[in-house]
Amino acid sequence: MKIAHIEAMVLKAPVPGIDTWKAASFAVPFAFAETTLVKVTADDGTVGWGEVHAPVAPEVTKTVVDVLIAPALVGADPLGTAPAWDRMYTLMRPRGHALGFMQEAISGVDIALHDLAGKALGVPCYTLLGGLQQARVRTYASVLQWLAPADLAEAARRHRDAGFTAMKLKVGQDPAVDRAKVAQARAAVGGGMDLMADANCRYTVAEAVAMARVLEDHGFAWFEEPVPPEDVEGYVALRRKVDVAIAGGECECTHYRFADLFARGAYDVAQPDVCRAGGLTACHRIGVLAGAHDVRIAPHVSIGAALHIAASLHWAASERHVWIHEYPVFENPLVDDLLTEPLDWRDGYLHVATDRPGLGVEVREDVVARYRVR
Amino acid sequence: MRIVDVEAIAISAPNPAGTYWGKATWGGGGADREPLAHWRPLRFPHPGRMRPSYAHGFETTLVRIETDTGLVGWGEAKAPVAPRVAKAIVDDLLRDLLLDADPRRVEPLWETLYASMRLRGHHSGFLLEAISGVDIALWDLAGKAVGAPIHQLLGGAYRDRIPVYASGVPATLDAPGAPDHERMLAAAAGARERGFHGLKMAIGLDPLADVASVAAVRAHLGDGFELFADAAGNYDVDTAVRVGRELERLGVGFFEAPLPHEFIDGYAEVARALAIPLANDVITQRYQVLDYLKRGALQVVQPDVCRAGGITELRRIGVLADAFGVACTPHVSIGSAIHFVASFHVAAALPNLVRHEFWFGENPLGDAILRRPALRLADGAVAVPDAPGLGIEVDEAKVRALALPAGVRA
Repeated sequence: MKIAHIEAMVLKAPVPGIDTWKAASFAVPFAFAETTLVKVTADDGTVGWGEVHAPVAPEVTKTVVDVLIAPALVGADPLGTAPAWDRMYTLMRPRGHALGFMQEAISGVDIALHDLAGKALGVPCYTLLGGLQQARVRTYASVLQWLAPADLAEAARRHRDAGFTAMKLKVGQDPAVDRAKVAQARAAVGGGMDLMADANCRYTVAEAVAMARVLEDHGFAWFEEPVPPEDVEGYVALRRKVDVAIAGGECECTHYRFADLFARGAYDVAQPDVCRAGGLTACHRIGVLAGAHDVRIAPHVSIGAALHIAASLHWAASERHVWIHEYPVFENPLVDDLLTEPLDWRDGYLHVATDRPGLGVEVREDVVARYRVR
Repeated sequence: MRIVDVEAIAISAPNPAGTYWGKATWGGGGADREPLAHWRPLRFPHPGRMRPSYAHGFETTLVRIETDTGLVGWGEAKAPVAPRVAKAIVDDLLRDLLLDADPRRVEPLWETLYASMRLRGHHSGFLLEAISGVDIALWDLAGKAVGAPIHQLLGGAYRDRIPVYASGVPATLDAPGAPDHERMLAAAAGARERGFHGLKMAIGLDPLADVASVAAVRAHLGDGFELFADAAGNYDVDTAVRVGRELERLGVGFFEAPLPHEFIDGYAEVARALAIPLANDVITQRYQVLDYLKRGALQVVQPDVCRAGGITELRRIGVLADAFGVACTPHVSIGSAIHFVASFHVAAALPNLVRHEFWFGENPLGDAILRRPALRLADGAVAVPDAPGLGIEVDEAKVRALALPAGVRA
């Protein structure tokens, strides 16, 4: 079996109100839900789908796949997912592309190869990752926007009533507003729900300590990305100073970097993103390292398409150190409409299909065509 | 003054020498190479596997920024392969953040561009390379706007000529007398004849052959010539220490990329064991460099102005290294004249510059794309332009003639 063709596609879909999300700490305002999908076709016609995390400028990772990765992999054995990963990683390794667009593009191709390999062998992707540890994974409602405290409290009640047992909110706006958000969200749902706070790297260490005390008072489960990602020492220092668990790593890539981060003690909870960190191959390796360091995993997903969540779910189903999984709660046609059968979310859990090969999902090519711009 | 247009141009030119020496040395990849029979270290080739992609010719991405006053600035993003990627980043991400901005606000604009993907972890790789290209073009504009060469805007020049070394002469697996061994000695002698005072050898082929090659070149050129060695990340710690001991005895000035760049603690371990300074060209932005410096993992930093974040970040890295007593020898490998000249401006203004890399062969993207030559070697050094901005005049017609066609397939 050989890889015959690799195609990368840029998708952009309208999302109600996404233009107002620039209130959050993103430098480039959103206009659409955007992503890059990858379709790998084998010489026998078997197809695998993958996704690159590309909430802005998906044209870039499409270009990486088209000009760099596809020429290197066409003709290779799609069942050799790990050798293919190494081949992709070495393409730019001596040039230092340990993070960013290169690793994101690799992620999308790696996921598509796993989907293809699973279909070719007739097994779910989690079987290729070592087997089923859990057929359902607890999720938390991830509120990506900056909502006013009262609106956030209302959202918390709504998500609880929908079946979520956990919810994450954004802080890092203004200390007084942040405190009000935390207090009102907790008051709205009482003690029965896990709450987490995400600062999107907006604090200094000293500011983060002050916020951590507030989160501790309100029984928050973790404090995510308190300081900028380059400041690894800041994460280490914070973990020594505060009791609330420190989470991070959504922007990090590969087992090479997580090995260093875990050894230095940067996180209580690691949040690799399967469509950024290097795909299922890299996330499986990161999971092994997390286990060796007794670090919990909470896979990151955010703005993207349904394949992103499906791939992440297969990793989570195979990885016993996964504690909980992110689940964005906003209308997104790339998630809601992309698959012939929607993702199986029930009662606060994502359920993995145990009777279907590969990622266990079927992509609607008519929906891809509707939102494809390149 | 405001920016009215930002354009990235992916260009490609045939290599007059046929094959780039880096590709000839490292492009085959350790994983595919048969080891020598007579001696084989425990873990060579390195299990980390090195098989980078190389282009057929010389490729890069130039950035052209135009202002409402008619001034035009030029920059370059490092793109020895897949130059369309940097072009896509400029076109689809950075351009909108630059239009209407005042190009003289170089560092604030750098922060805006970096912030665009900071939360997504793009601290190295394609984004930094694209930002580098924009940053250099902004400095070119800033210099032209005030009528000063860039090195003056960076605090002033310590030197008006930049001492360079020839890069690079590949080691050989052949025994003395065999054709490739003769080729190596002839290339090394040729560097001296052309006026270089030093050269860098590309090792990392096989530890024993690497050492034998450096020894042969040392014997051929004598003790007065400066030699450096670049293993391109092909060794492990034990092999690096053993090879490093031999390089020390051969008077090699620095030992570049002994290990894959991911293993910072490994660099620190090798550095503790050896007297020869360790260098690394695969470093971007100051946070990553700081990590190496704090662990004592590098004695020479080799940031590349078109990869590490432009003139803005190259200067910051140089200053940071100086605070740790670490020298700076900027990396260029291959690129256009814009790449070389941009790096020379920073090198002129750095207190801790020791040597600068200089492309050894004929460069179809060098003086060939300028109206007046700027890369003339004399007595082992190259003069820094003194005209405003980069101080060079890009021949736009020649650049556009090299532009890759639209569409993404190579």
